[in-house]
Amino acid sequence: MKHASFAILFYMIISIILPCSIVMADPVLAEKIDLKILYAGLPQSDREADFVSFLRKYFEDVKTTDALSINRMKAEGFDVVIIDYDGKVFSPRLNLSDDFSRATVTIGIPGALLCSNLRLKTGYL
Amino acid sequence: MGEAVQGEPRKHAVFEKPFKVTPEYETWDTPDNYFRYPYSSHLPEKLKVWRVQNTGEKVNGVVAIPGGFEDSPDAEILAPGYNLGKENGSVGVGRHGNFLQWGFSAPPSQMTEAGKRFFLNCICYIQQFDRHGPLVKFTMFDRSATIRYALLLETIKNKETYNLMFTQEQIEKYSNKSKVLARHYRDNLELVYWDKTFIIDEDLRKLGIESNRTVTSLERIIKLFDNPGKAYTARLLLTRYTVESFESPAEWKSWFEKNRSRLYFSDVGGYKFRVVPEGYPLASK
Repeated sequence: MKHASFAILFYMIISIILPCSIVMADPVLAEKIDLKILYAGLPQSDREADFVSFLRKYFEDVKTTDALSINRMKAEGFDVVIIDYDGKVFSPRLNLSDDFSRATVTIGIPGALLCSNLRLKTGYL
Repeated sequence: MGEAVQGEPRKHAVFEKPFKVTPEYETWDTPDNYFRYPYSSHLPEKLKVWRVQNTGEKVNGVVAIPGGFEDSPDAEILAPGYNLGKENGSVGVGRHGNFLQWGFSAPPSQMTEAGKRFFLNCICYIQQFDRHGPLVKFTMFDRSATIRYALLLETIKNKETYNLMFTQEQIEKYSNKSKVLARHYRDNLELVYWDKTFIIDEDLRKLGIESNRTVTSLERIIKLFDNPGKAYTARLLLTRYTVESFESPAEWKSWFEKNRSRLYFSDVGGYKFRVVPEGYPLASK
């Protein structure tokens, strides 16, 4: 009787925990997405490692560069550029030339300040 | 910005492809700062939100101003951000041209399931705008800013705040009558434009034209050339509201007829009509 009660309790707990752990796992794809991604961030940082390990689960090709020196030439050969730094700081300010037209995701406060420099509607005004 | 998107996702590819974004909704208090802006009295006490990240910090991101954000076809609001600094509807995630600003600050390890899917979809979505830069650049706030700033005249006493908004005469006259000035701009909003300060277009009003930003109004301005006595006014208004500089009325009419369906007016881009270039990619529906 005691063992049966324990087993019932065990299965009840498993039935609650297991679905939750599935919901919290990263999304799953059958094949990686055929896009070449350039992540421009803070080199050798934990944040860079966090983004890159995540992105490499989903995209065929992910490379990195320093956000402080990203430019049009470094973006050649990539489909999307992600410009990050640490999400929060107001300095140093990231820069791009006014005519930078590559598909770009900018992140957090440094991203918004970069957009302000470029006079974009997405800027931190 | 806080850690959540406000409201239900709009119908858009960034919530569908390649991953279906399924938010887990919560109910949060409506931020006090929302009620400091005009037209906010209708807001409920609680808002429906869904977390994009979970860092434990109340503020961990940045929003952009929503006024005029979508007044040009190169920009779209993808998700309003729950925020503790700006107004309701401020842009947490938005696109302008080839740039998609993800306003949240956390790395993927601190994103929620829905946040990760949304982020991945944004990366995939922006790729189609590669090498298609923005059509306009920020020149000035949209016309709704006149009401907002007019109401601030009695609370923010640093007059330099209003230098690019109102004339010195207006600042002095209305510094204790802010609601009167705000009402004046609200009642004439369709005729507001910006040229060193915000101005209500009396030239258009005298012609009986009620708005400066509709294609119909532009057509009426060009038709002024049919009356030789109005040619000067036509040129004045076309210089004010377009980026073109044709010599003859025939050229103006030809330009208008050729581009009628692709004309748009942007406050933020300088209170001008422009033509969407052929082949320019528009927002996903």
